[in-house]
Amino acid sequence: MAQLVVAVSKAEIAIGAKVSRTVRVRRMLRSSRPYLMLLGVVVFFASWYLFVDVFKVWRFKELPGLVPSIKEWVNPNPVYGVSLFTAEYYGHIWASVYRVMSAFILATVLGISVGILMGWSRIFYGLTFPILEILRPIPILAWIPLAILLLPGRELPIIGLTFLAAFFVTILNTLLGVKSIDEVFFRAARSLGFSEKAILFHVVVPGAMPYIFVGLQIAMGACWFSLVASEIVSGQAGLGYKVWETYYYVQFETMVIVMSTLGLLGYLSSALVRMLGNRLMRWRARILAGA
Amino acid sequence: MADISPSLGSGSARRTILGRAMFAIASRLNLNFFLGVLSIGTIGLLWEYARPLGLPLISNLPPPSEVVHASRRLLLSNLYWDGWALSLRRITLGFLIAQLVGIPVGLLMAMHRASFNTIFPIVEILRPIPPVAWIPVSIIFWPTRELSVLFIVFLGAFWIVLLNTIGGASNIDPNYKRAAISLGSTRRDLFWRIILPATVPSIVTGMSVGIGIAWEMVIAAEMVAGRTGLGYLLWQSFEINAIAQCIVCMISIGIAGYVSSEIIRLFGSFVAPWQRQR
Repeated sequence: MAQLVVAVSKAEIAIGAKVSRTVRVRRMLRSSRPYLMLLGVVVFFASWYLFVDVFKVWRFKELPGLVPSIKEWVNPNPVYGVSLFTAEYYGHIWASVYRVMSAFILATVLGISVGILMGWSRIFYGLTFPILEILRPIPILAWIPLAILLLPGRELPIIGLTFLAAFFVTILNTLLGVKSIDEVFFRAARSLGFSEKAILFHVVVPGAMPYIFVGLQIAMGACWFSLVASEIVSGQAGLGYKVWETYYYVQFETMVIVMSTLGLLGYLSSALVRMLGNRLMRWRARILAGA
Repeated sequence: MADISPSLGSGSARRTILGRAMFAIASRLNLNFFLGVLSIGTIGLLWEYARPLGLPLISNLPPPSEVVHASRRLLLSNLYWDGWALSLRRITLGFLIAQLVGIPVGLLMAMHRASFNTIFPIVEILRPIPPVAWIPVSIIFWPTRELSVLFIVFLGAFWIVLLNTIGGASNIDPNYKRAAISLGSTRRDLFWRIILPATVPSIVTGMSVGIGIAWEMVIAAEMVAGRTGLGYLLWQSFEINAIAQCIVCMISIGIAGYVSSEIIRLFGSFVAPWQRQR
């Protein structure tokens, strides 16, 4: 009987969702919202086209135009060697994505563990927090010389700097997450006879999760940011390196391609982290909906 | 794991300034203070004696004693103080322009739905591009190097201020607005009495994140495109292999970053005293 009720209500929810989706789409199309958004996009590209390509207003004439940049991007035989059809383009993308991925994963694993440990043990907190507070105000980009000095090779300094940017953010957000957990949960778990290990996995980790994922999203942005800077300074491949090289050799159309690619990748990677977070925190959405 | 400090002396001793300071020092002089001294001291000693001990990686760095020596020389030079002055000027100008543009645009977008719908897609197209990648474009576009550095600093602080202003202004409890309207307030009152004060805390949050990014940007821009400033001095010291001097520059930039965050924090507690800062 109970199962039947559940099944029925699930079906109802599914139907409800379907109906509401079509209704929602129709309602949205009737509102001004999608048209205004389209207008915004059109205004942006039109002003780029008009200011740069057509009228060549003031300093805008120095900038790469919209039409030549797009032509270069989709050209099978690009003038400057980088377009959707060349291997070099994907080579640079892969070099950057690989660096961001390895740095981000490392920073996530280490940052979350250190952050939880800091929130968990007072002694560890006392030992590490002062160091963190001393190092944190120094901008990541000011570490570039030291990273080049300390880490061997050309690849490791770039990954190291990208890692560092994400690492601090992840630690601090994890720590904040652990500190934000209501003391009552700890007391309840202890009085119900949880071991310290069980508290760690059933109270601390899920309790800190929302903050951790906020931190991871910021960390992803910080990763791309410091990746581009360190590639400009010391890279031999990658999108940041290419931005600077195209500037140097006055290949401005390719610069637009690389910048757009950077924007796209940055957007996609943040969306990925957000999606993962939503999936891992479904329980929370359910609780919030129930409450 | 809230800090459950003993409520000793919560009466008269904490009322006077001296009493409060004594209390603060006494409660800091506990385990945490000891542990902090221990860990920083250990790292300092390891760094100082890295070369004799043959530690990997750290022994590439000059020991702290050498850094202190280099700092004594650098602190007497004009180059260093000019660097401070120029970097501070760039930060201040770029950051202020970002506030002057970001806050009004953010408020407009939060209050006026049509403008939000029109402007937001443009923001979403441009924002994911890391500000550092704008450096070349900025150099091409602006007639002088100084302006291009300023633009990069502006861009670094702008997005976060804009987004925080929009977020703060659109998360106001609608009951406040309803109450004000039903009590007969005009649109202008609504803005000055409800929307602006309610948005101030998140604007301050945006500012304190923004000043950090602004420092990143000024360092990047000076390293890559500048001929002056602390970031340039840092890179220059690295290029001529004066690593101790390079570390002095790093520490100086850290101090500058810390001081400017503190200023933002003070500003925050001044304009929004009802909001308890973290």
